[in-house]
This record gives sequence, structure tokens and C-alpha cells, in this order.
Amino acid sequence: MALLSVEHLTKHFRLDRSVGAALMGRPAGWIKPVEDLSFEIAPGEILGIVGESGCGKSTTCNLIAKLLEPTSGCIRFDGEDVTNLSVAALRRYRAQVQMIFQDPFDSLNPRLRAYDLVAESPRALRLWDEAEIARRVPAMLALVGLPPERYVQRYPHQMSGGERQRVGIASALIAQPRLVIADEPVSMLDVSIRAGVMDLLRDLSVRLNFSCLYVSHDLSILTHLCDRVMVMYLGQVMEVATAHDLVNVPHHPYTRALVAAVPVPDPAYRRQTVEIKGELAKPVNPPPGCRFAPRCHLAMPVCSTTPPMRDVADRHTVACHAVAASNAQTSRTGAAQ
Amino acid sequence: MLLEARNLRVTYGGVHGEVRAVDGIDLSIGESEVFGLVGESGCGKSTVVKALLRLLPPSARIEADVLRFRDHDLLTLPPGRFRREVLMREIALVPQSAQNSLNPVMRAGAQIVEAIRAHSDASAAKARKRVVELFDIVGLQPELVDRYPHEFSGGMRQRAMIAMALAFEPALLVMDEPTTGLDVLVQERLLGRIREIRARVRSSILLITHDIGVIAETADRVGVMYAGQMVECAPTLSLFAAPCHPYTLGLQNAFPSILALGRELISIPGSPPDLAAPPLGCGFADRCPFALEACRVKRPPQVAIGQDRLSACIRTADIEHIRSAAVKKATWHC
Repeated sequence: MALLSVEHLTKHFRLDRSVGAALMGRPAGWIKPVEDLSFEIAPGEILGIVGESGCGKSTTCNLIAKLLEPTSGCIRFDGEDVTNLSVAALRRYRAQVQMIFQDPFDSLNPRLRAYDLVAESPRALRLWDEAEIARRVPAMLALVGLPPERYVQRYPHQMSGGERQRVGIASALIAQPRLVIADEPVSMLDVSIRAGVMDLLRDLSVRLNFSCLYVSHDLSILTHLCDRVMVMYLGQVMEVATAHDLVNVPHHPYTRALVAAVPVPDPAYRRQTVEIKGELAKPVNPPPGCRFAPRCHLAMPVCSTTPPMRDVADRHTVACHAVAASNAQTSRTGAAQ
Repeated sequence: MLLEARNLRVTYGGVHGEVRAVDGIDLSIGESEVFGLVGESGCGKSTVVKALLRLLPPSARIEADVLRFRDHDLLTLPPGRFRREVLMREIALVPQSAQNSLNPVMRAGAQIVEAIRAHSDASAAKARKRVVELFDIVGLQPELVDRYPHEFSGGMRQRAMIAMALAFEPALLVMDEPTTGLDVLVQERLLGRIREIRARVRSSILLITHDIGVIAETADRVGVMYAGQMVECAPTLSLFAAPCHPYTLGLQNAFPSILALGRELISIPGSPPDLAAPPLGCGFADRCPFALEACRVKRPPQVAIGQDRLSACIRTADIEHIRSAAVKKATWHC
């Protein structure tokens, strides 16, 4: 059974209007960063979310971490509906779902030492007494590759970016979460140390048996780290597939463009470019239907209705009318022969 | 040779002593060449740019054996003449975070008109005509000239900054992290646009980035910087086919590629040295699994490898062995 299952999750923010606009009776605008989102994460799985700015990846993280209330839809964790939780239940939930943040330079309190940074969440969640915390924090620091005898007393400014991000990981994992939400955890780090932090996360997910929702705009990182990758565009899921399928047999026109646009560290390789029209829009008052349709070269009249997610292969689903139509045609001609 | 720097050093003074951010690099850029400068944060690549464009704070000191741009000696050229004759007209900069470099309360076109008139005696009407031409080169519609920057997307603002830098078709266009912070599809368009611009305007480009993928696609020659030094410099194809410096090998191991999905990424252990107290020998020796005692004693000189290739490593003779060992994770992490 899935550890986390998200069903028809939607988040809309109302745009402020001026007093004048309200008096004139003009309707308020809406930002719709997440629209009818459904997906599952299996125990121990690392699911990646990729997309451009404004695609709703961070809003999705915040919704699952219960930092935002959804407009509609439902989040199930371990079979239990956690969409509406009491204060006590929310504290229990928070111990099981922890976040790792993007910026290791801003996300750590500069006035706390590494020990207190890691001890902060069990204290806030009232998990253990100080003696137990004093036993667990050094062990956790050691686990993320920071020898406790050298690091417990350090302040963030005494550590490099990679070390700070390891402290961030330690403070997320100390509460023994079953799901870790990582929002671009390596994008601020230098290339030469990124791989170390990614390896660490992957190793620990196996050793400590947690699932991970890993958000990034960098497809090449996701395909190296994740079991499956979900592609989002302006709040909607376009395609979900294993890393291998996504890179080698992308179905959705947006995924194709995205995969083709990733720079490859090989000067002899010539990428195929997939042209898409127009500029990236914002999810403000989006028209109904597929939100990629205005930029899509395969767009048809039917694209003004939202395409359902359809399976195209094992663990590979696509939300696209054009892909569905061409697949139906292929199977018809196949049957005719 | 368009630009030639030999033994370029930049030192920042400070109350806690001096920091040598650029420590004796050699750099040469030919006519209509794209030279990529790659390195991690703090390696000195942006300081090189600032030294070339005289954008360093007064606390910084530039020294070099040679620092020549065409027939200008940049070391002795007075600041006034540099601004009038070289800046914008011969060397122009597309700054880092160019997206936020436009004045939000001025129309985009007006800002470029202002820049053109500051560096020439063009009339306002003539300058405006030029802006429309420039917008066409970078792929912006002429009606955008009278729009404000907030009406532009990130990629469009970036292109407007490139348009400004191209105003006088400078011989050298310096781009500092031009695609950082852009979405991948916007980045891809911009890289395509840069290639088109190269075909239309015969400018050389000095491209600064930490993204090896962008370098691989765009640059003719690459310089790899580490801790203020140029550790390797080679034509792009040969650098990627057969790196000659352990640091370059390490970067290659650590950089993910969607073409090699199953490949294990290997990080480089440790972190760069503190430039306020630089090591005596090779700056990379502490992180290098191939370092010998001699590496820590004396700074390795640049060794020529074949034609047009340099590597600052004393173990270049062993490179075949080093290359085959470098692909194994155990070599770096034991």
C-alpha cells in the first residue's frame, strides 16, 4: 500500500483586488498553483517532481507538509486521511513528515550550534527528554558524515555549504520520519559536493527506510536519484514515469521539450531541439483544460477539457489527449494487421 | 590575439590580511572565439571578469606580467580612456543576475538609449533606431522597446541586457553566468540565441559559468579554475574527451548527465582551501587522491600537453593511469 497518496489535491489563492475594482464589482482573480493533483509514493520510494518556475512544485511540498491548507482534495498518509488534523494529530504527523530546505545558508538559525539545530525538532515535537536527545543528536550527526566531536559545537557560519546541508538533513531525519520532502536541496551547492549529498540521501533512505519526495528544476539530477519522476506544468501533472522511461521514451509534448532542453556535458553530442511556442505563463486565471495547450504544437479543440491520466506502460502515465489519440490509432492499426 | 593576460593576480586587501582571489592565471582569447571559464563558487572566475572590466572595489589590486586587449595595455590605460574607448565599445558585460539589472522605473528601451548615448554622440532618434535593431538581433519584438522591465519575463530581460551589451558590436562580450536562475526551456532558447548572435555579430565571448553542460554546448575552448588558479585549459572537445587534471576528472565524475543514467556520481571529498591562507603547493592537493608529497611543497607549473593544451599538474606523465583510476569511487572515497 502507498505510504502517501494524494487525491485531487487543489490549491487556489485569491488575488487581492484594489478597493476600486471591488466597488466596480469586478471579480477577484485567482492564482491556481496546484490543480487536481493525484499521485502516490510507495514505502522507500524516491519520487521526483520536476518543472519550471510556477509549476506548483513548492506549493505541493507545502501542502503535503501541512504548511498550507488545500482548497479541496485529500491527502492520505499510511491509509489515514490527514487533510484535516487536530493539533495533537498534526504534531504526530509532523514527526513522520519532515522537510529539507533549499538554501543551507538561510534555513539554519545562525545563532544555534549544530547540536541545537538538530535537537530543535525533537524538542518542538516533544519526542524525547534531553538525555535521549543528547544520545541521539551526535549519532545522527555521525550518520550524515559530520564527526560529532568536531561538529556539535559549530555555528552555521563555521561550516561550508555542504556541511550545512548535512546539518539540514540531520535535523530532518532525527525525528525518524517516514517521508522526507526535499525542496531543491542541492541546487545551492557546488557540483563537486552535490553528488555527496545526493548519495547520502539515497543511502539513508534505504538504511532508515523512509520515502522521499524530491523536488528540483534539474532533470539530470532527478534522473540520477529518483525511482520515478513526475513532470508538472502550471499546477497540473503532465507525465509520471521511471527515470529511464522519462528520458528515453517521453510521451507528453512538454516532457519531450523538457528532456531535449537539458544541456549535456558532452560537446560532441548534438541535442534535438523541440520547439515550443510562447513564453512560460503564470498560473493566474488559467483557462480550463490542459494548461500546456496554448504552447503545444499538438493542441486540438479537445484540449480545452482536462485530459485524464492514462497508463501507457508499466509505471508510466501521461495526461495528454494527443498522446491518447495516437496510441489509440496505433493499437487500432496493430489490431487491423 | 584579442585578449591576452599573463600571470594575472588580483588581491583583495582587508583588515584580516590579504586574499589573493586570482593567483597567476594565463588567459588568451582569439578573434570570434567563445572561451568558457568554469569553476565553483569562490574559485575567482567572477573576479577575473571584474578585473578585465575594472569593476573591482578600490581595496583590490591588479597585477600582471601582461594584460593586453588588442593594442590597449589595460594595466596602464587611464580609467577615463578605458571608459570612453574600451568599455561598451570594445568589451561589454552581460552581468550576473542580468534579469535584475534593469532599472524597474525606466522603460527598457530608454535604458539602452541612455547607455548608447553615454558612450557615443548618437542622437536620441538614432540611438532608438539602434535599440530596435538590437532587439531584433536578440529576438525581442520592436514594441517591447517602450515597455517596463516588469512586463518582461526573466528570459526576455536577459535578452534585453544582451541587446544592451551588443550596442556597439564589441569585440569581446563577457557573459557572467548568463543562464543561471533561468528555467531549462528558457535557458535552451537563450543558448540557441547566443549561437545565432555569434553567427551575426563577430564578437568573441568570454562565458563564465559553473554549469559544465552549458560550457560543453557553447564554448570553443575551456579554462577550468580552482582556488584562484587555472588548473586546465584546452579546446572543449579534447577537454571533455580526455581531461588532464585530477580536478577536471573529479568534476566530470560529479556532474550528472541524462545520457548516462546508470552511472554513479562521485563527489570530490573535502572543500576548497581558504584563500586568506593559501596552501604552499597545489591548491587542489588536499582533495586530490593522486597528490604526492611534491604537490604540497611547490605550486605545479603549467605543463603543455600537445597543441593548445595546458594542465597545472606535476603528474601529467601518469595521466593514463590517473584517468583509469579516477572513474572508481574508491579512489576518491576510501
